[in-house]
Amino acid sequence: MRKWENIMKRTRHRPTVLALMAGFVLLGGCATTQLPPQELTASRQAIRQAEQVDARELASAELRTAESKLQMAEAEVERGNYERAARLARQATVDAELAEVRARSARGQAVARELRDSIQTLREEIQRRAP
Amino acid sequence: MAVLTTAVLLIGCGGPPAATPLLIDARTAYQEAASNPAVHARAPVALQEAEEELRRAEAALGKDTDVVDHHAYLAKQRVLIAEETSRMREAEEYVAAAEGERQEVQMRARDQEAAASERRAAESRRDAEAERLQADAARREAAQSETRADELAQRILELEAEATERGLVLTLSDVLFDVGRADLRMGALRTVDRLSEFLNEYTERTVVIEGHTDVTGSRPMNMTLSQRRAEAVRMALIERGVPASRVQAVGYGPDHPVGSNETTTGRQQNRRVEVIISDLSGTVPHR
Repeated sequence: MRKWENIMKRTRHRPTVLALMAGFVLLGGCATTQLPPQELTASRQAIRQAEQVDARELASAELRTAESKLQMAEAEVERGNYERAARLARQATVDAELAEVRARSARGQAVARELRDSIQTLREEIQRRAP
Repeated sequence: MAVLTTAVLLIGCGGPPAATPLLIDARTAYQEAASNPAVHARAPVALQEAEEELRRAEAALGKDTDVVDHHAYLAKQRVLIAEETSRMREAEEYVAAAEGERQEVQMRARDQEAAASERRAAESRRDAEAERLQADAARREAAQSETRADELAQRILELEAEATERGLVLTLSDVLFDVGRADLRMGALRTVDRLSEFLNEYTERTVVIEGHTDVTGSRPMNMTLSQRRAEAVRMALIERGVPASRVQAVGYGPDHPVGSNETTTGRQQNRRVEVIISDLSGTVPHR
């Protein structure tokens, strides 16, 4: 927030700046924005959650997308682009959620497949052994 | 100046929307998912969240492209989440339903196996039973043979026959005939009865009846007497039902003495009829 403070102190265009800020508030009002650090924490948490259900193995592409988005968000924080950082962090969170559900789904489908196969095998065995 | 800027900004919010490629993609994706009854049924909440992001994207149209694209991206990702959630729940539903089926099929397989092994057990029980019956039958047969053998031994004992190489020899002594005659006396008849009973029971045996005399008198007379006495016994046997083919009569006269012809006792011993009973082969070896 230092940049704004400096502008406010030095500028004679205070009304313009105020108007611009109001405009930004209007635009910003279209989406709720948390402070970047909280958004980043949420992203990191979502990625961890995805890893816990083996997204590293079962949804690696989706997980990598989330991680690189998080990195970009951190870079934007460094540059002071908090708006953009917040958006990237939110995207990283949703990307991680997608990775998580992909991993869970893959596991569930594998279980279903195995169950289907074992039933099939049993049925075939019964057929074979029929007197 | 400030008011003008704000006014421009305000007018910009209310202008006609120009969709970005990301938004168009998100719209299409959402339409597809929303019209899929499976996704609708299984992931309604995820779909709703996608719709909310889509609305935010539409609302930002004409104001800030970055915000539009941001929410469009989120909308698209949430659509994918909804679809994947639907697939995951479908798999879960299948597992829940099919587990019951699997147990049922497994029970059937086990029942089948149990039935098969019961059949095998029954079969081997039957085999064991059959074997047991066979063994019993064999034992009974053996016992019967033994009994018959015992009976035979007993009967032979009753016959008062002597076992020799030629067979069983029953000796009818001289006193069973009148002096110089061939007809049998009463005493002989009992022996003949016993003998005929034996022969009628043990039908595989034959007899050779041999008449013998001492040296008293002429040889031709003795030959004739011995022959006639042998034949008398033969006839008696035949009269009692023994087939003629099984009975042979022959006279040897004085030719085969068993005792000394110098003594009275010896001469009496020599005056005899021998009945030789064959073994099971039915033949009597010749003298």
